[in-house]
Amino acid sequence: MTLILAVVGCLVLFLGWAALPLLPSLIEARRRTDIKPLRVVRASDVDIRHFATAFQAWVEDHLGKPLAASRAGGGPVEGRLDDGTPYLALPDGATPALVTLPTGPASCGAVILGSGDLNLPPRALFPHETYADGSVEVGEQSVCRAILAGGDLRLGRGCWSLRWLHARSTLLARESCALHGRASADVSMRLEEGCRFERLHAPTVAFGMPVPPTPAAPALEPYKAKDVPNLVEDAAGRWLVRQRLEIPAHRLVTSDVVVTGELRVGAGTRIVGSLKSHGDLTLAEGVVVDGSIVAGRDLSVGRGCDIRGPVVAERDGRIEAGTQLGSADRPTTLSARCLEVEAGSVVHGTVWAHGGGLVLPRPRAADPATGPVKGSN
Amino acid sequence: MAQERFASHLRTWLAPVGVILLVGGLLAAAVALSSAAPIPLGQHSPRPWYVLAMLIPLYAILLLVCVYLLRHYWFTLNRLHGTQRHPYLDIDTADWPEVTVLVPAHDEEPVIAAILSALLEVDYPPGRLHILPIDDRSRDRTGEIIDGFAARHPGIVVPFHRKKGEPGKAAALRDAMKLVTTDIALVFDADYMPGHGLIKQLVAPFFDPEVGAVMGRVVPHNVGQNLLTRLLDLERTGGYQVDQQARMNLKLVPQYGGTVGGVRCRALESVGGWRVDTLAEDTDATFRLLRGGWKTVYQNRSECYEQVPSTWPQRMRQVRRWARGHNEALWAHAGHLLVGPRTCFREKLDGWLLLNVYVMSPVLLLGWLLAMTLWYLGETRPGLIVILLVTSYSALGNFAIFFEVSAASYLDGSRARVRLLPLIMLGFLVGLFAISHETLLQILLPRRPGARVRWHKTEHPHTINHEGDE
Repeated sequence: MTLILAVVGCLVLFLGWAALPLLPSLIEARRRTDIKPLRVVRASDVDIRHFATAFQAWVEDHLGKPLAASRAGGGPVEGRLDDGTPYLALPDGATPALVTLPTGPASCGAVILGSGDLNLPPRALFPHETYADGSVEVGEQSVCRAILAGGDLRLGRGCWSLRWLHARSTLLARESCALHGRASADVSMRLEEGCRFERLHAPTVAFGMPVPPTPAAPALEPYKAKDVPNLVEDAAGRWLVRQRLEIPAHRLVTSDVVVTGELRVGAGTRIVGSLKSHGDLTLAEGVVVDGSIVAGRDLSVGRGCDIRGPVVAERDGRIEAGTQLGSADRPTTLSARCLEVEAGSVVHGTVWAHGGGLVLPRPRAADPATGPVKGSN
Repeated sequence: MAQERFASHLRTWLAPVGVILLVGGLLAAAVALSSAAPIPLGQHSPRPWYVLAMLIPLYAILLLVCVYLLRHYWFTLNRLHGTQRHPYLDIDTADWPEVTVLVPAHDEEPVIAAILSALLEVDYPPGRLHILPIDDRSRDRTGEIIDGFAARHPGIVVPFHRKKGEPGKAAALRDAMKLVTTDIALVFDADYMPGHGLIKQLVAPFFDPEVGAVMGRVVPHNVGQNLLTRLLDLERTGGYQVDQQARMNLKLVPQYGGTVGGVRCRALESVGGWRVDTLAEDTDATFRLLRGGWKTVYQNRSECYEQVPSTWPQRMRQVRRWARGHNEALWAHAGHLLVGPRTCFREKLDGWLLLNVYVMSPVLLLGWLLAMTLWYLGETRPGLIVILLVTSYSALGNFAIFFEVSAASYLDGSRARVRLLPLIMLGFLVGLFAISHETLLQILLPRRPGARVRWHKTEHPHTINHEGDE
């Protein structure tokens, strides 16, 4: 009997020991603590105005009364939110008062609301969100967390935005601003030389002052499939090319082109289709692409190009002056890991530079009036 | 910039180096254990021919299982530490092309209204989205409901009533494609619930002229229904979040899954259109497009809810249908894929391994049979048994191995549900025997060429609303 009990005891002990790793599973199976489907809707990922829209709704919910009082009475209204954060509602054209500490920059530690136009002083820190019914003018070298302007938004030289900016009308970032996160405008946006950016959106995003359009290209010579070296297939409206391809200058290509290596397109060539390369993709000056461009590595777009479809580079991109991407009636997307855009280029739509973008000064030769332009072929 | 590039190189090479170390370790262990009882020099092992005839296939199987194991480790490490590719996700502004959304529906009365309502609310330019619900020989009110939508939304919802013809989704799609006038066609099963921005996300990759098909991520919705749905949720998570995305990262062969995705019509036409004599028209399309030089793109952030089977018989039927269809694709494409001029070496290799995924279940069982038989015949090799044990454990699950599920749950940020991981073995073992059974039947009783396929529909008794509640 003792032996049987000992054996049974050992068996139970062994089974219990063996089942021990299953204990969390069995508990979870019984308690059902994590049975909701994964959330799949992320409006913040999709809509660049998401934060601005959410902030507008928050202002109306939480600060509607002080803002209305400021609009009606004309004087500043101060108070604190439930979590203790101060707010400051200012009348039209006012400037918030700053606190200067022994160390660090002058700052205004309140959520700032403007019932009309608003002026933010230079060389100051605004660690909370700013809202204005009208336009917002930010003094040079100021640092702002986020701004929603009901009218225009103008940033002085060397300003920084940390999270997002949105202007219901136009947005202007003067030289050497750094727009971290998102920046968007409902009408247009201009970034001057030296500005850094990440994600931009507006019907027209201008980098520096626009360059006059390049003169029309001479008559183009058709470039046929039989002229293409290493052509694997010409079917379904697409050329599939093994290895490297260089399309000569001033040609007309009426097909999509997919290249497994590097792709170079000569000056003035027009592509009635889309381009894809697994390697680097280089467009010389004045190339026109009716479709889209996808570069598996780096992308280089020469001066005065006109690309109508989306442009995606899986690595870095460089856009030279005078290039136009998309149009007012056909907005598009430009995306790259890091992006350098010369002043004088225009993008209609969205610009993404995940690793950061930079507006470069326009070289003198970019202006057609200053001299002849050299093509690559 | 240089530091960033160095970090990028480091991330890229971390996975391969890890895998190489793992291979080395496994091989070293195998050699050490296999040679535990060395035969003295000068003496030949008196092995009978039948032992050798079993030993050689066993080594081959072991090698194959190790290859799959390493492939899955590579995927997991890449997903955790490698550079993630989402090249088309940024395209949120464009001159969006016209697109047709096909919704095959056979007796889908409980769910068809929900998906049509959801499609009518998606963010896509007016006039460029055409919804084509396919009333595929339905015996319930599916056709009537579709007609109601068509009457309320003329020009947007264009119904296709298919009263006769071959059964199956592929046949329905083939017939419906005659009505499609756009170059891009997306396909959703009737029990799916597309979100507001999903159509744009799925269309965006088609701006790449090399893309022939696109696939979004399927997310189970009826997770809390029972233990099976919870286990299938984990399995789906591993399959999409890790396996598919890693193949996308590594430029291998992501798979078009037949729903929450779409095709470029001219690309599909150029490789022969939808095949109706298969149970896995999606896998078949993936490989025909691949052989034709068209890429399939996986969009991990283009998520859509689905309802997973909630009973074991349903699940068994689903797995058996997938296995049969996938194996048909294997017979049809494996040879051609290896010699085709339009695919690169890594695509050939991964495509071949992908095609053989379902065959691995019976191969694994065969391996165990050989190992145990050899053991009883006196060919005791503890090293082989240990390696087979370890690799079998880690190679179960076709598209979602244990560590892939763990990594996927971590990436999804869902911590509690991963505690069910040990119980997923139950699902894997059921799948192992169901797939092996189906594959064996396929070998012993092959379908006659031109014979009709038997299509088992998965029942969808519930509907899903936009908030994600049933």
